[in-house]
Amino acid sequence: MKRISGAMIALVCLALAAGAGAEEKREKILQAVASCSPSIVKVEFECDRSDGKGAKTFHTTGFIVGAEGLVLVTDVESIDPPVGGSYQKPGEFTVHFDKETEAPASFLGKDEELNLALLRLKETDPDEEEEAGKAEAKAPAIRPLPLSPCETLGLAREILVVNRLSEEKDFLPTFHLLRITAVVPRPAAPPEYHLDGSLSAFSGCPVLTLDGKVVGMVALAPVEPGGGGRTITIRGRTFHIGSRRRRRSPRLLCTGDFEEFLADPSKFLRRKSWVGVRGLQALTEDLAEHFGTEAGGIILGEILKDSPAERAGLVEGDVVVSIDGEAMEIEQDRDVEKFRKRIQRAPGGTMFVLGVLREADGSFAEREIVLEVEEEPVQEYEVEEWEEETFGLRVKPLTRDFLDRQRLPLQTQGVRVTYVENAGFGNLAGLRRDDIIQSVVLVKTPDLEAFQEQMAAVIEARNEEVCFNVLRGGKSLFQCVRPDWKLADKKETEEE
Amino acid sequence: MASRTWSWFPAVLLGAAVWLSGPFAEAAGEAGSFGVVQRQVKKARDRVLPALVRVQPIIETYRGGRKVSRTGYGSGVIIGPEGYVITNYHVAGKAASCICVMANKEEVPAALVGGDPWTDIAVIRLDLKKYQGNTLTWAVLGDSSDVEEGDFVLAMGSPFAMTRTVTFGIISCRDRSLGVMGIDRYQKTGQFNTWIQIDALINPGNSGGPLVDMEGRVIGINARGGSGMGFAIPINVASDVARQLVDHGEVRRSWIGVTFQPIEKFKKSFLGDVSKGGVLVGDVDEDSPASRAGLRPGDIITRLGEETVSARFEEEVYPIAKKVADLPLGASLELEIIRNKQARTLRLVTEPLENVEGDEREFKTWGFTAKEITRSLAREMRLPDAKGVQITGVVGGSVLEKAGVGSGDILKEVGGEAVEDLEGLGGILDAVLEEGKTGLLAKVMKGGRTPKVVALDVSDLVAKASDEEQEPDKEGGDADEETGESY
Repeated sequence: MKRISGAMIALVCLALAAGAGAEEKREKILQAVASCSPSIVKVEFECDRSDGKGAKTFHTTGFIVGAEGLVLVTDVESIDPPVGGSYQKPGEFTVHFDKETEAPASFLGKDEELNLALLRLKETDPDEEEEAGKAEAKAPAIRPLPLSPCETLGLAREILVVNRLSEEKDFLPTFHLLRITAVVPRPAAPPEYHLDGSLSAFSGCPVLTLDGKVVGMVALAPVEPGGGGRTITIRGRTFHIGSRRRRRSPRLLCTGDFEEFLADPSKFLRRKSWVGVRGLQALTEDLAEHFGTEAGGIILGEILKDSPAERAGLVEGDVVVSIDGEAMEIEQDRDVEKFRKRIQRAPGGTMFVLGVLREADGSFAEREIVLEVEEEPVQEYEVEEWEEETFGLRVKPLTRDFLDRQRLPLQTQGVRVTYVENAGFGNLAGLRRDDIIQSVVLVKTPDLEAFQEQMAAVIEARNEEVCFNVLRGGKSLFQCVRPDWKLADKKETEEE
Repeated sequence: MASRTWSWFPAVLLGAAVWLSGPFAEAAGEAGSFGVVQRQVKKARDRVLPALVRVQPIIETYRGGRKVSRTGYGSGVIIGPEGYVITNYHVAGKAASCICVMANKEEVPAALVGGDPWTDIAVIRLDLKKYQGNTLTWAVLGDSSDVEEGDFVLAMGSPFAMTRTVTFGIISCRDRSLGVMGIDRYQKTGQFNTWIQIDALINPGNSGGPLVDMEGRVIGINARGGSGMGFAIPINVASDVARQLVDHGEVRRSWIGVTFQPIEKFKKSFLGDVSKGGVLVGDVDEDSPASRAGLRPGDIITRLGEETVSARFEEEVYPIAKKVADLPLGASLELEIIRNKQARTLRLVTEPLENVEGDEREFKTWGFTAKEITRSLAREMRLPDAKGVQITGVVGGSVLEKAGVGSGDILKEVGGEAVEDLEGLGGILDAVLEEGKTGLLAKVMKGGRTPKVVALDVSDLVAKASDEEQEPDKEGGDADEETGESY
């Protein structure tokens, strides 16, 4: 009879223990998934197309937070599309809890930098529901997910990302077990978590520890304005690499990243503030040596005309070393983001006392400057287009950011052409997209209202010759058309 | 028996004559006309082909922060016994030197005399001492104002570097308006002339070659082509420019800062009276003679100095633009205008028209190239002023590159000294090395827009300069900077 060695016994025990451990882990996972999946909801909403050619139904995933019936979702661009985008804002949201339960919700607030939005479930009137034929719909059982601090979200930690399948698949829960493989800190922004698996198809879903604590969520990365990709310079030649399309990859946010948002979502509905400085640069050690001062400040670039910074008396080259008595902790250019965000998040009218170094006669002297921030001027994407059907044109009012991008004076007046219909009178006049119409039939067009009146007058008077003065590429140009009014009448009759 | 045999012979002869006078006579007649054309084509060819050259320029250009040489090819035509050759500016206008392949296949060096980007004309001169041929043939220039649609023409040149190529066609349009086109990134061309459009085949390499009429006279310089169409600069324009280039090395033009538009479409709006003429002011440049005189977009100019002007259609605008350009520099000019249907007079003083693209230079020691910002360029780029220089390339690992300065940035200040122009920058950089400064600040406009301060670490350059100073026997200079011998 062979002797059974202690080593063999130990091996067997280990195997049994491992098996038991694996089973225990499995149980924990199942329990965590089961406890959180009822709080995960599917949100459905419809948006009309901006060109009037129908509508599209969108779906997204979110989960209930807080007893007030708040639903946390991602993808701000779809939930609250910008004016002038491809789609109009949705009228109402429908939150599906399961196959039989749904409830309406309304938009409450958004944080564009985190790309998060909050919806609030509406209280439903059972009588109304019955009248609407929804008598059999059950009232949703609102089970908010308790959020936990996310200190445990660290390197090599395992996390669960939980979702629910679609209605066709009975909203069955599904999950992904991932491990954090790197944590990259970023100043004034949530750290970047690298995982050993993909987060695709889990946008808007909660992130749990294996104990079932909700420590984060999966949010889409914010939309990059102007496109993605990078510009690099090799041997003095500039190349663009990567896609120019906007990148919207999912990323992991920890609860700490969005607790401020949850605490007061309405704060995020406020317009950003601005001061009007182009080019903020950190006063780094190597620069400070030449400035003859200490590092840790922000060098101001161009002070825009008619801006809060100009009114405060700031000039290009000033170095901001403190804000409200606190020294700036700026070591490199990306630290400047903290200052920028502080300004942007302050409500309009907030006063900051800046400690500023200004060069005079080869040396720097410090002074205090009081800076009052203002709400950011209306941006180009926020203004509505107006359509002039007879001439086949769409125009928008001029905005400061558009004029700035075009390097045109701020006092430029007119309306910007955003669309010219093929073979329309505008097209025949030679108008192009991005032309700025400055006069119509030799009468100045200061703004959109004036343009609307002028075009109405031209159409009513049936002008034989309609002349536009436009600004194109910064240069003035006259364009003219002799409209065929009979054709326009015929077209209008056909449409009616 | 013999008499019987020969009796039918006259009848046969007569029959043949009758038969031949029918269709064959027609063909014979046609062959005659065709023969006339053929002979004329050959005569025209023989008058100009010996004066045709293939032009191979060696052009110094700037890439990746360095001055590099590249070659190309085009065509040209000899216009005088001194060996002057007309070609296009885009062929040889920036040539450091040229090699011309003559009609007898000899290769002869040539030097640039001058170039005019506004009309895309350049003149080079053959080094006739190196020409071994027996005689030099030069072409006779015709009068492009006499040409008509349908005229037969020959286009001569070196398409795809194939020398001594002749193509045949007709004039499709004697005054084609192509609008103002770009010849460099910002430099425009075609502002002062319409074009002769032809259907003789024009391909890359034909540029600069002669367009020849059936009398063997050059009536145009071929410059553009494609899709079965070709466009030539009328010889009246080209020869005038060539003369100025030969006499002065440049073309001097006046500028008042006005963009003209034809009046036809706007008559009712602006004049209310379709019978009146004039030319519409479309745009007035800022800080220009016209703006200082109070001219505004929408004004109708009816008189320029002593001459009345009128441009109903696009093609009629070019001669007016040329008329303005041909005014003496610094001349006081009275304009009669109509504004809000009221006549008034204004007075302005002409200024020189400057090229949009300025000089470019390599700063070899520092590893970058930069370009002058002319006032015109500043206007085109909508910069606040023309101060500073635009970086056009940086070498990897150079001082500027390490500081994050790249192509497109504008260098405004170095070491506390404002950069006015290329020469000024050269002086500042030389002083930095002489003084032995190892680090200094520079101010740039990133992308021409956003101010940024950068720290330049020049310790390596200073050390290198110091080493070179201590070893004066070693050869200095750089082969790249040697220019070709001038002829």
